[in-house]
Amino acid sequence: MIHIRNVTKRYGTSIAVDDISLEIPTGEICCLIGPSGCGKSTLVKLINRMLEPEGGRILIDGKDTRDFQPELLRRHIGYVIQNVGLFPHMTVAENIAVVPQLLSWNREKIEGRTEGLFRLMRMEPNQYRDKYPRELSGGEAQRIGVARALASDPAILLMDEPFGAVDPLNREALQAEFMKIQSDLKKTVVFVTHDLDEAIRLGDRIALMRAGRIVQYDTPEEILAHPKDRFVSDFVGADRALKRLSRFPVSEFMKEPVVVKVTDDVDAFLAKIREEGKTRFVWLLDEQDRLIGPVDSRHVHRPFNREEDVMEANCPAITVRNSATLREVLSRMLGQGVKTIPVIDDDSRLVGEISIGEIEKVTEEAAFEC
Amino acid sequence: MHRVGIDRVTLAGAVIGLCSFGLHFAVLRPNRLSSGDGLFVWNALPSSEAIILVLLWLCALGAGLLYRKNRPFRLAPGLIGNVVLVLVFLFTAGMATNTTDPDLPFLRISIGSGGWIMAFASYILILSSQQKLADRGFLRLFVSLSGLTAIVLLLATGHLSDISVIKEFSARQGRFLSELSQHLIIAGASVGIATIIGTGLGVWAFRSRILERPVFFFVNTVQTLPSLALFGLMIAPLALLSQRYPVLRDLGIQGIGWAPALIALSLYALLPITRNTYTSLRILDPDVIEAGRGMGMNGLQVLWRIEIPLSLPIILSGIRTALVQSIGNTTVAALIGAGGLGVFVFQGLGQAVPDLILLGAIPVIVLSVCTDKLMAILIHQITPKGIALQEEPAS
Repeated sequence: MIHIRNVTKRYGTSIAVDDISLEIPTGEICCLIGPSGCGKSTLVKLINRMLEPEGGRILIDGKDTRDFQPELLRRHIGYVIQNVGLFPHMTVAENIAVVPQLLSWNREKIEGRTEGLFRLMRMEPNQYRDKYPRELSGGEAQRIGVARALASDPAILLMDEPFGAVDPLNREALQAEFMKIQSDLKKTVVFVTHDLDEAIRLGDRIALMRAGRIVQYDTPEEILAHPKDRFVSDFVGADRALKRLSRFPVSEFMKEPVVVKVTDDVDAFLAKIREEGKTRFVWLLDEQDRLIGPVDSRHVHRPFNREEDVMEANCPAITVRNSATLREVLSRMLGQGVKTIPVIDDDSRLVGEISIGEIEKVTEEAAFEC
Repeated sequence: MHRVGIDRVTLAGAVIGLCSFGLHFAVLRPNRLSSGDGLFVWNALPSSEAIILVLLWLCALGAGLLYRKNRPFRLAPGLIGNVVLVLVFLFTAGMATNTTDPDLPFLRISIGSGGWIMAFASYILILSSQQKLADRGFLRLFVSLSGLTAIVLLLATGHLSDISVIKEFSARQGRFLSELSQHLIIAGASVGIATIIGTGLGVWAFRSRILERPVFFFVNTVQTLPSLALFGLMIAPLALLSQRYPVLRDLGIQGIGWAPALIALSLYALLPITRNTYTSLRILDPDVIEAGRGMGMNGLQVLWRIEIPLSLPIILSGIRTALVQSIGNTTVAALIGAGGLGVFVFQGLGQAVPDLILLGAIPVIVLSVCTDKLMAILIHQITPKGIALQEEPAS
């Protein structure tokens, strides 16, 4: 738990952080976001005392940070910066071992920890251990940057635009990996970003800052559904309803699909469906439960003709993975002009279906005022 | 695989080497002061020795024209170069020993322009092999040093003592050693002082935006002054000071002598050291420093673990430049009575004795080259591997 209480920081006459109070619960990711110069980076640097405030207190688990020597405090707070800042004259393994060495761990313990961190980052230790930062790609370097920050297993992780300098494709991969790691480690993370999508994707809470003050501190869903004022609603944009959808994983909203396997008696099944009259479309699966495509129960040849009766030949275009968010689902629906979409898992097996009605329910809950 | 091609460096060396036959290989003087007569290779040496030299150079020419990428061809120019280098000295010495004339007891034999150019051309052959053997440490070292080692051994065993410049040396052995050590002390001390002040100035200029310009204006201006003028400038104020304060005179600080030389040379050495210190700090990535601090290093740990390993190689290469420059400039310092090897150069100029000039000049060249090499090795050793990686494509 990080308590920030009435903290103020000035640079000369300008105020970077203006009497901010903020509580960050243990194990949560708090994203600090706002226009440049709003004081978000300054606030992070106040937490590990890279900067000293003019007023106010910062408590970590109830203990005032001023009671510790700054260097000792920082060895127990992970720190990741935008340009990584790996030490170019040290190997990757030596970079990771910096904090454990400062903490005078013994060699076996350091080696074991380094090994473990490589695995955590899904990097092959033997391949990377003796490389130098120069030889790494941007994404690899940032993974090592995160590993280095985690080396002493700190409870708190400060990340100052960590993925800002990485290309969009790699950034998404890094975000996904980071979420996976975070779901295991449950660190208390303060994450500075200027990318709203990133904040919405990663943050348990978002603190939106402006001119040294926090304008709104809430869950991403709340900020997007109920922006506190004009500044917030402008910042989150006119498409906030859409952005909000990316907080909702499709796996939580999909329904049980009506399916028929090619090994079943397709004719009999369709006839029964038609009589009941509830469902018009059913999903046809192959022997391994993989999706072949949708079938219209009213217009089927007799006998069943697999070539002509499956309505959509290009199946991948209308399916989504179960790891997708409702935002991707909606985009896919609009792009393909369909109202219902099948959801598949990593092995292409059908696991559910979702229709536009479910998405509407999610947006109605929020009851947007415009 | 082994295509025949032209090796330009070896070819250039061979052509220069063959051209040197058109100049006087040796100079014969009735005594050390007279101007003397030049002798071509075939007049100076017995025909067998002349033929050996011609054949060696023709081999070099062949190696240059018919180059193949295999080991014998990489090694050949260097071997020929080393052999020729030794032979130039050995043959001249042999000629000096064998040429006796009862009428001319003070007869002197020196290496002539052709002999020196031949030695220079043989060095081009050695360099050519060095380049091609970059990946073979031992062979490269052998090619670089075998000729020089042989010459040093020949010198030590007295086989070259009949060459005129060695006779000049023998006549002044004690003086030579004292001037050599004086030279080394002045050059070394000036760079030592400049290192202390220069690194300080560099750090200062980096930390303060206001001081950056004046500091560099000062060190750049000093560097543009001719060394002789700077020595001259030192004389008046120091003379005045030592007159005013006798303590200084007792310490040996006067208008002329080692004091003004040391001050002027230190000022000279400031620029490369100040500039490199400043640059090394300038190119330090601030993110690296921030990461270090953010991970909990204190000021001393940041300095010791990050700043020094990253900037030392660059500062040392500034010191390397300063050392080479100082060794050369100390020669001129002899003019204001500071001593050093320049003493022989200016004595030789005054008395019109070319061999005396060489007695001063050759050691200065050898000192500069050796210092440069030693510093290069030192810098290579202390440069962290992770940084060296980024420099490799350039070399």
